[in-house]
Amino acid sequence: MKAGDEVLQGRAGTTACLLGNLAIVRGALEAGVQFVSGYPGTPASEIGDTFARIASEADVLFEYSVNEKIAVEIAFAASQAGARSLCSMKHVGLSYAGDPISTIPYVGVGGGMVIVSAGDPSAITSPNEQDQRHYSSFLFYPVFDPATPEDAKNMTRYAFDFSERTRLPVLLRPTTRVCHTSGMVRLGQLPQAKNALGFEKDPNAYVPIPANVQRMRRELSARWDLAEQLLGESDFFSHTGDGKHGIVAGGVPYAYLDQVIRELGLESDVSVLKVGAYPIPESVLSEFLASVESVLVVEELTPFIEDTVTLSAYRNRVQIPILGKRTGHFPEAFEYSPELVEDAVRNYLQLGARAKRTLDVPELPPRPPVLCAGCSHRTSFYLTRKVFGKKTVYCNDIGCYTLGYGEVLDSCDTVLCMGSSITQASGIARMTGERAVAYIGDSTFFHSGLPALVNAVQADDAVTVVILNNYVTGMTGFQPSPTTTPHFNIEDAVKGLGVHTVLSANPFEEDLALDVLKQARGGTGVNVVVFNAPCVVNETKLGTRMDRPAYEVDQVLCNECSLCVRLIGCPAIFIEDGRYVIDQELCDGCDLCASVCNRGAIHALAPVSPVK
Amino acid sequence: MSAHEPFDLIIAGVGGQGSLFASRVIAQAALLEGISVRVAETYGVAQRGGAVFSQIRLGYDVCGPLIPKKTCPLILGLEPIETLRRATMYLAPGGEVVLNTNINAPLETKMGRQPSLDLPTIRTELERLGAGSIEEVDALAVALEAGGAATANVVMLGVLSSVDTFPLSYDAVVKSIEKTAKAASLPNNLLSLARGAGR
Repeated sequence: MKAGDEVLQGRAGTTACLLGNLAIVRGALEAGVQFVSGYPGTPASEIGDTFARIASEADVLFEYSVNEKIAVEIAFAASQAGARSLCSMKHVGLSYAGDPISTIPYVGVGGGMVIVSAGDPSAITSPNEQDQRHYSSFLFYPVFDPATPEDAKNMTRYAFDFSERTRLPVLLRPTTRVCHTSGMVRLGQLPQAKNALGFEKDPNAYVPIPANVQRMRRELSARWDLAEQLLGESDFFSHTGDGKHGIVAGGVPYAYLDQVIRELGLESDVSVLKVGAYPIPESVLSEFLASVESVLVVEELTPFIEDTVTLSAYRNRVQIPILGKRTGHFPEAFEYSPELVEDAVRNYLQLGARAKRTLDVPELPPRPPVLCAGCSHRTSFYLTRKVFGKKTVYCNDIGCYTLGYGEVLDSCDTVLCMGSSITQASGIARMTGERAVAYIGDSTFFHSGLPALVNAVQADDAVTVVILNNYVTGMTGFQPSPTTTPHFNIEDAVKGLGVHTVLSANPFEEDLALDVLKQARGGTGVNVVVFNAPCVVNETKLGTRMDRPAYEVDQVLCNECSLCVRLIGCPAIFIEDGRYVIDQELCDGCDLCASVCNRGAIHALAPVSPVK
Repeated sequence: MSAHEPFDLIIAGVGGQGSLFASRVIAQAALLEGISVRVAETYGVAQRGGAVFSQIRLGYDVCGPLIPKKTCPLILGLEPIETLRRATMYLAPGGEVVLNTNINAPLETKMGRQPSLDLPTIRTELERLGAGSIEEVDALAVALEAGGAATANVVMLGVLSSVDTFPLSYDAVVKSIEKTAKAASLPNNLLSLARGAGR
């Protein structure tokens, strides 16, 4: 059985060890989900990957959408056609979908609709950390906040029915430590029947023109009240223990708290309210506040629960200390740890500090992720920089190729968000009067690079857009990209957008690649260079990789000039006892090191066919 | 679910070494033994040859996903530098280290821009950190004998299953690999496991 197959095959009543993301898939299956969309993004990617694998067997329609906005829109449309729909992405993806998500609550869902937007406290794999719980008060999304994979399964299962009853879309916000934690999950029954499908015309209900929006807004308040009432009757706010010391906790920090309380033997001495969803029903808060003499709030990211509790205390004229981030009892940013929660609890209950364990950390070389040996991006960066020089501004984007960052490849002067490389190159070129280069991958280009390119064309900006087409969404785990299918040819798409100079090459054909780069550098206005070369790791996975001989360094010819190491940063080349050596297990035979060697000291171990 | 004494374990390695597979095998083996399990993994951007580690928590009724610093009784090291990296943060005084001796230097070291660390230095550092025992295994050599470099992680699982304090049985690990590994690689995996366990 492959990892995760129990999401579909696991029998009801048994316990499985599921990755949080797979627990979400199971919860959706138990709820009878019929349509799933999404865009990959760590830490949410395994949700879509799993549906991609099991969709037909599970009788679910699945698509990796071109971007998150489209993923939300198509999941909503499926819901309007009666289907229970789910849509997954990471936190920044939900921001990209900001336009559709802001109106869906007004129009209201048909079949239950759940958006999973994974949060990433400490920004472990993201350009920022953000707190999607605010979507509850901001845009009328009930938000579920799991502490464990089991919570995630139960909440997902509950959310679909809840969404249908309130006609509100629901947000599930697992964080990295739920998504990428495996834990024990008790499996429930898969449904016998699913929703009937069909779209019944009713423009008054479905079209948010101003004449309808007034009514929709009033109905929305009523549905929001119903949501709060249903949550008040749910299992997602559990009150355990007793005593004058109150603690309110939500999300993963609740799991740390639970363990700390047990280890300190305080189960019955502290009054703990677990918050599993938002809005926190006022009845739950006022009852809790009336039963304690102080409150410590344990939550990651913004003081969201803390502020809600403070407001409720004010409304209920309860004057007790409410401690948390705002009072300096917890740090403002980053994910919590079990020690952090233990220290805060000890401090709160005046239990004395825990035994100090000093961390005596020796200096260790860092090990950041690097471009793989044989990666075409490395060659593309190296050649482009050779032609455009080190003074050119290189705007980079979101993908494996962000690893062009750093002094070796030095190909990443700016990054902002998906698709922004083109726009940043435009803005910088316009203000500096110098041609700027934008790097963007195939999936990111179709995700949000298209409108950015149109914008550059209409302003006739002096930018060279280098599209790194490796036919796959690499960084998040080799999900398909539009160029994985035979429908799309980037060169044609770009010409259709009004770019007159569209050059294309295989970056491993060095002379041709340098030639197109020189043309691009000498051009005017917007031009595009498409570098087409499949991802070597994906080729290996697919079994389509051509056998390429590894390379070696001729120790007689080598004069230890270090160019091969300094210029390309390949993990297969290293220095051993002062000698330059190639790891033949790692070497993919891309030939780049041989081409930078002035002495011709690097050569293939076997004859090389002319083109990879 | 479990009446067992809680036990924490960390697997430290480099992206691509199979630490995800190893932790999945342990999780499934725990399930077979009726021991509750929780595993926190490194995914995504950390994988491209970056540092990865898994935090495995066995036999807790409830627990958070992360192991408190300096409390972990056992570290399974798939790579020495990464083992030391995690040991400095997590190893409990007197904790055990099971170490694959094959060093995979980070790129900056390979490029000569960061000092290299050799095995004796790593051993000394681990001792200085208070490691109770350090078991060293040339997992690559054992894996090559058993059929290929790719199963070095499974060799290390074999060694792990023979550690006295490790709460899961060898048989459970075997059954778990039978469930988890692809059919084509199963014989190699089982042989590597057996060799690692000294069987």
